[in-house]
Parts: sequence; C-alpha cells; structure tokens
Amino acid sequence: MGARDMKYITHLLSRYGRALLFGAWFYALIGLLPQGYQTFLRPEFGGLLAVGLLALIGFLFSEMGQFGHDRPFGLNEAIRLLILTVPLAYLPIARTASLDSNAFQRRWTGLSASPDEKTLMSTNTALDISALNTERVREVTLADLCRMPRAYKNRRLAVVGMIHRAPDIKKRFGDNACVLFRFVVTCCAADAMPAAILLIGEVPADWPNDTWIRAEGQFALRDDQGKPMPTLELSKATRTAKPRRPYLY
Amino acid sequence: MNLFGITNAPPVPKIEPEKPQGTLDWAKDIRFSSWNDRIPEEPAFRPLPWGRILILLLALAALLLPFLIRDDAGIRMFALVFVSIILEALPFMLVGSLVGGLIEEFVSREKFTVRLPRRPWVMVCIAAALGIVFPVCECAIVPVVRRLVRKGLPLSAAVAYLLGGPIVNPIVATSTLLAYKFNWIVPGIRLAAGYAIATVVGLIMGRLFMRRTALLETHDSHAHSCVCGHAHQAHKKLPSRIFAAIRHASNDFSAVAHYLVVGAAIAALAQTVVDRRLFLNCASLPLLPSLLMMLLAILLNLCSDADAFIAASFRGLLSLPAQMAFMLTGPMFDLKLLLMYRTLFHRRAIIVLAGLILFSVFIVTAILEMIWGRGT
Repeated sequence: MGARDMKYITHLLSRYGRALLFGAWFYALIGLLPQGYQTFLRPEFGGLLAVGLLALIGFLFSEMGQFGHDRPFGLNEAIRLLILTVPLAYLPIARTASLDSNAFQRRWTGLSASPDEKTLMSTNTALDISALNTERVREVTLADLCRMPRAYKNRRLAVVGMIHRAPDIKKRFGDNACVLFRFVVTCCAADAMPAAILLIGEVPADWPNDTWIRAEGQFALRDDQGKPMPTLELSKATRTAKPRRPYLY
Repeated sequence: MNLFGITNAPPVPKIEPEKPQGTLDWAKDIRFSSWNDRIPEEPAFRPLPWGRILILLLALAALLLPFLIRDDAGIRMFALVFVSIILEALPFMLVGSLVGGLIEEFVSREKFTVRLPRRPWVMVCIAAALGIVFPVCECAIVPVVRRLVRKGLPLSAAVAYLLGGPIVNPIVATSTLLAYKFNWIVPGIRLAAGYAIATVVGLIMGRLFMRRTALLETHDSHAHSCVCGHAHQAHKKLPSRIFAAIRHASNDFSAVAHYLVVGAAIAALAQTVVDRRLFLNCASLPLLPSLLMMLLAILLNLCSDADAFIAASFRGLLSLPAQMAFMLTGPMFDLKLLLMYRTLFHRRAIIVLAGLILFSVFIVTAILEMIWGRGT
C-alpha cells in the first residue's frame, strides 16, 4: 500500500469514519432491540436502548449532513474510531454466552441466608408457615428462596437452576452435595449476583456443571456454624432445557 | 560575613527575561509555582508518537482477538460482561451528550453565569445536591459537566456536581433502599456522606487550582471561533439550532465514549479474573476491608444505580463501613471515570482529585467504623 493509498484512506475516514461507526452501532442496536438485548440487560432497559437508538440516529444524520467536509483526521481520531469499534467485534460471541459456573465461582460469596432473615428467624414467628399444607409441590425461583428463605421453610418446592459441583462443597457437606444456582440481574450481566442454595441428594454424576435441572424436594434452613443455610433435600431431579430468560430479575 | 561564610550583602535583584509580546502570563493564573504548566518548545524534529502507535496496535489486537479465540470460556465471559457494561451505559451517555449539546446551543453563557450564586461555597453546596433535581448517573454526567464548564460553571461547583450528582439523587436512594430491604439508615448515610465528600472535595479543588490549571479547553470542531462571549445562537432558527445541538452532542460522545470502552474492557477483565471471596479473608481486620472494597469498586465500574445490590451481597460477610466504601467510591471514581475525566481535567488535577476522593472516602469509612464498629 503506497502513500497515495494511505492518503486516500485517511481522506475517506475523515469524511465518513464517524458516520460509518454510528451506522454500525445503529445496525447492532437494531439487531439487539426486539429481545436480544436481554442476554445483557434486564427487560426494562429496552425503552432506554430505544431512546439511545434515537439519539444515535440523530448523530448519524448530523454526520451525514457533513459529508462534503473534511474534518481533521489524525492518529487520535483513528484510535478513537478503532476503540469504539471493538465492542462490535465482541457482540457475536457475547450474544451466545451466558453467565455460568465460571462466573459463579468468581462472584459467589458463600451460602447463607441474609442477616435480616436470620434475625427474622429468631424473633418472628408470625411468618412461620411450615404448618401449612406441605404435600403440594410449589414452583418457586431461586431468587425468591434467597430473598425470603424463612417463608418457604419445610415446604415441598420445585426450583430450576444450574448445578455446580465444587470440591469444597463436597468436602463440607458430603459427596451427594452440590449447589443449585442462577444469576439475579439488577441492571446488566456485569452486576448479576448468584442466587444459590445447597442441594443434598442424588444428582446423576454424568451431569456436568452448568446443567439446567428442575430440582424437587423439601426446603430447609440448615445450621452451618451458626448461620442458616438454605438447603433443598432433593427427592427428584430432572434435566430441563435452558430457560428462555436464563437470568432472574 | 556570618558563620556560614556568607556575606550579608543585599540580594542581587533577579533579572527577569523580557517577556515576548503576545505570550500568556501563566504566573497570574497559577497559585503553586511548582505546578506551572510548561510552555512546550517547538521540537527540532517530530518524533514518532510511539505511545499512541502502541495504543493503536493494542486496540487492533483487541479487535481481532474475538475472531481468533472464540470458544474459550474466559473470553466468552469477558465478552458478555464487556458488552453488558457498554450497552448499559450507552443510552445514558448518548442522552447525556444530547443534554450537553442542548445546553451548549440553548443556554447562553451570560444568562447562565448571571444566575449562578455569587458566593462560591453556596454554589458548591447547591451543585453537590443538584442530582436531586437532575438525576444523572456517572456515565452521563461527564458530557453534561463539560458543557456546563464551557458555559462558565466554576471549577469547584463543576467538581461538586460531578461527584455528587451520581450519588445524591432519588434513583440511587431508591435502589439502595431496595437493596438494603428498606433499611433507611443505609441510603441516608450514603447520600449524606456522598454529599459531604462532593462538597468538601469541590471546595478544596477550587482552593488548590485555578480554572485554567485544572480544566482542559474543550475544543469543538464545529463551534465557531468567535471568543467574544455573546450568544450568537439566538440569531439562528430553531431547526438549525437543534441540528447544531446534535452536532455538539455527537462530538461530545465521540470525545468521551472511547474512554468508556477502555474502562469497560478493564472492568470485564477484572470480573473475569478476580475472585470476590478473596475479599472476605480480611474481613476481621480494621480498615483493610474498606480499602479492598474501594479497590473493588474502582475495578468493577458498576453503574451507581446498581452498585448497592452488589454491596448488599456482602452483608453478613463484611462490615457496613466496608460496604459503604464500595458504594461511595464507585460513583465518584472508577476506571472508566478515571479515563473519562481526561476529557475534562488536566492530568495533575485528576491525580489530586483522585487522591482527595479516595482519602475522603477512607476518612468517612474510618469514622463509620468508629461509630458502627466492624460488625456486619
């Protein structure tokens, strides 16, 4: 590539570089907008993305309105354009990814009910619903269980999540123990926190980590070194497909 | 002659070199001579900008990496977190840039400066609480403040709004309240401490720096070159003013957004590598958990609307002051903000600002630890 070609490319980028960039981002956001963005963000962000898209259209038109003019184009502008293109290159991989055991290991801070729940457990008996009918299996989410474990104590529950087997869990709770987890998203996948319970029972050994299962059993709060630990004593485990929305909100 | 062999002769007057006509008198504007900006000499030859070439190559490598390694679990998680952070911040940044563009085009500098309170400390106190009326997260606030500064907002008030806006606002109060299960004390402490830090740091920055030594000149390739200060926009028709506002917004976005991308990449890397349980090993030591939580806040680059939920996940494991250190540091100073501040401040001002923020947060958490104890 000669100096003349370089000059021509620089000329093209100075005139159309930003418009191309905004166009590429516009295309990416349009592709994400119906529902695809929910891989990254909670559903309510759709409206915000639409607003952002409108702003981007404005920027695109503004750049197209200046097609006839050369703007100064140096190394700094080239770096800016290149850096702003980088996320677009990661978008295809990111769209097929979801938070899994790998993320769970990094973000998990341990199994126990929150301190509020602990206080509630020792002082408040009004919410004790363990005496209610426990025969019927109730479908709950892991987020519900982690937010209000006391409300589900001693009940027969069915819950969907991914399994995670770790040596330290086996060491502490026995060979038939593993963790059932799912991520709870506040705004985006970056702030997702694992909601996890201990699973005690026979989960087929050939099911690897991150297998989606529907676990059915008796929910309990076990005492673990003075801390209440949400536990499901497994009576039945079945493999299920990955939910349409893998995260909880 | 005295004991040291020095004669008591009158001091020889220092001969100042004659100042060339037309140069700026920097000394008038700078209080600390050691911080003087040097006027760069014209180089005899222009060396290759190796630093920028290196950045260009790194950006190119980052661009190609996902095409070379597709199936690695680490890179998939990195990609997910990286894109998530950007998609979450993008609408706020675009809207923030638009607000900045509208301020530039529709708010006249004269009217704006006339309406500011006369007393600087009053202005700082109001600016730090402005987020209650104009709630903006930390991604959107930088373009807005850039434009407000251009309109004549003083440095101290700009810093106070920059730091206070993302914390002292109703959205953050609500999310903190929800994260801490309607325990009013936590959002109360968060907002009060955030306000106090924003005010104090704003006032100190105003004392330490002059406007010119702290704030960068924001160049807008589309702004006309007239410096008379009059509101020429008033002569334009509404559609062309709106179009001009969008042009300003587009320039602002292009000037700031690449810092967001770099910050998001570093944060995604940290999220892919750092194990949060490591932070729990030092929970019983004094002040160290607070320092580590400050570090975590800097690395994670979370939105101030969501960070309370992450802080709340450490309940029962780390003390409330340590959680508060996380919630106060993130909205004021994290990696992406550090990079975005480069579009607003000179490097020295950023270093001092960062030091002041971190020191203030540390002091606040130390006071909280004295009052609250290290209990979880």
